Amino acid sequence: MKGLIIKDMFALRKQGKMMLMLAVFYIAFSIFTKNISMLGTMTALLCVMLPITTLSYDEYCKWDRYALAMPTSGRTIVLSKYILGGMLTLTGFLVVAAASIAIVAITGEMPVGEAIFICFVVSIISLAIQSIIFPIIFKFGVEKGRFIMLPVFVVPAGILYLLSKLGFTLPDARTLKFLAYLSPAAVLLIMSVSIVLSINIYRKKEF
Amino acid sequence: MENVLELKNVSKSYDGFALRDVNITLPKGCIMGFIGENGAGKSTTIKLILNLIHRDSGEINVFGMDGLTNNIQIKEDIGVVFDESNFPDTMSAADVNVVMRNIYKKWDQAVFSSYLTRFSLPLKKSVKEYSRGMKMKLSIAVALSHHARLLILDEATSGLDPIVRDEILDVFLEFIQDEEHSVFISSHITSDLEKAADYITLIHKGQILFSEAKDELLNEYGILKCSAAEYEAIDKELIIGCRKNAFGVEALIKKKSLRGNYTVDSASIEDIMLFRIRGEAK
Repeated sequence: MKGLIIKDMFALRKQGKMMLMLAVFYIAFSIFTKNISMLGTMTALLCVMLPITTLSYDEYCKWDRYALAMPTSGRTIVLSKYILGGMLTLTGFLVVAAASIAIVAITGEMPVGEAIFICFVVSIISLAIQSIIFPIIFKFGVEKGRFIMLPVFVVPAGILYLLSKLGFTLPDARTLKFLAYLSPAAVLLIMSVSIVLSINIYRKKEF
Repeated sequence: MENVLELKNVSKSYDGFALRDVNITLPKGCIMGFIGENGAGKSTTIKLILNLIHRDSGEINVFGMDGLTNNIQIKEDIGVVFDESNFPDTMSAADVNVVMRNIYKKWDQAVFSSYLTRFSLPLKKSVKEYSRGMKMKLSIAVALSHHARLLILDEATSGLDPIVRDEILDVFLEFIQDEEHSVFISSHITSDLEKAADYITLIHKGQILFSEAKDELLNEYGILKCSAAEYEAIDKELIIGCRKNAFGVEALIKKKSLRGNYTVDSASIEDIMLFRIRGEAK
């Protein structure tokens, strides 16, 4: 397991430098625009994209068959991707939270507590998206998976848009906050289902 | 003699291709060459041994253990080299060392770095900048650095120049000096196997045509060259396959049982493979 995650880290090393530059850019951007949501969103997006990037590297160099020829089970390979995603999300949360604290201290955009809360919610959403995407990619591969991912996100967004057009209003801030507090439990549930699904999909695969 | 690898009636069917009742036995301490055309089923067989694909039926034992139930334990002791490097381009040999140290329980850093030196592989350069030969050497170094007892090589020497192939074959021959070690190597370059292998297994259209000791094969078969008239007089039971042309007949023949005064040259593994697969009916 550890070996697999280290391998993914090595594979992502190149992206690491780019991420640092992006982080610097968005931190500066947040300070100027007095808006930390962009920084949070971009980080969450990266946390989703990076594990997918490692999966696409794996496909490209046929890593899976090699890993499976080693003392590594398919289950371990699947779990390693979830752990990688989780680690990236946690790192992203810590970095963005620290940056947000500094930014709101400068800009006074909102109370510190609220800033951290936003970072937290964004991370939870990132984990939820990973949980939806991983089984799709394990089933269809990165190339096809990308196309299937599209409707997965476009359809709910469309429905939300339609609902708002039809006059449904978003629940008030209080309800939203309550839902946000519930979200860790919901995400844990989604992740567990997703992991079981992915392991079963992987078990049926042939290399 | 103990067997390292046993396949019993292993079958696997795809749309348009099927591996049927494959039986292979590799005794400990030997090198088995696994030959056949492209698409004959060599890689499929190797994937079945490694549980990379699911078999329809049959049994596979490695080190005397069932391949499915002891999958992980078995793989600690197997070194595998595929026909191409499977490392992400951005990794270097030093990175590979760190990754493998965390995958194999018996990973031996000292052995690995000695192979890197022997193969003149740079430690820090990324795999992207490696030549094909260097990539294969890196994979072989990995396969040999965790005290494996069985090496499984799938077309590991194809696409390499003769010098590198020879160098790599020497490494395998060295590996086999330890009588606990065994090698299963698939290739369509029969000359490599002729040099190294103790046993030769020929697969054709998903079926094993023969699996025999190399020396017996070379003793048993010969290439007969004679005129068409002479050919007619020979007992066809002895003939495996033949090629007829304007000057006469060339045939692969069981030479030990042939009586009479004929010109019989020794047959190479390639001759045996070609005549078994392409030779005309007698």
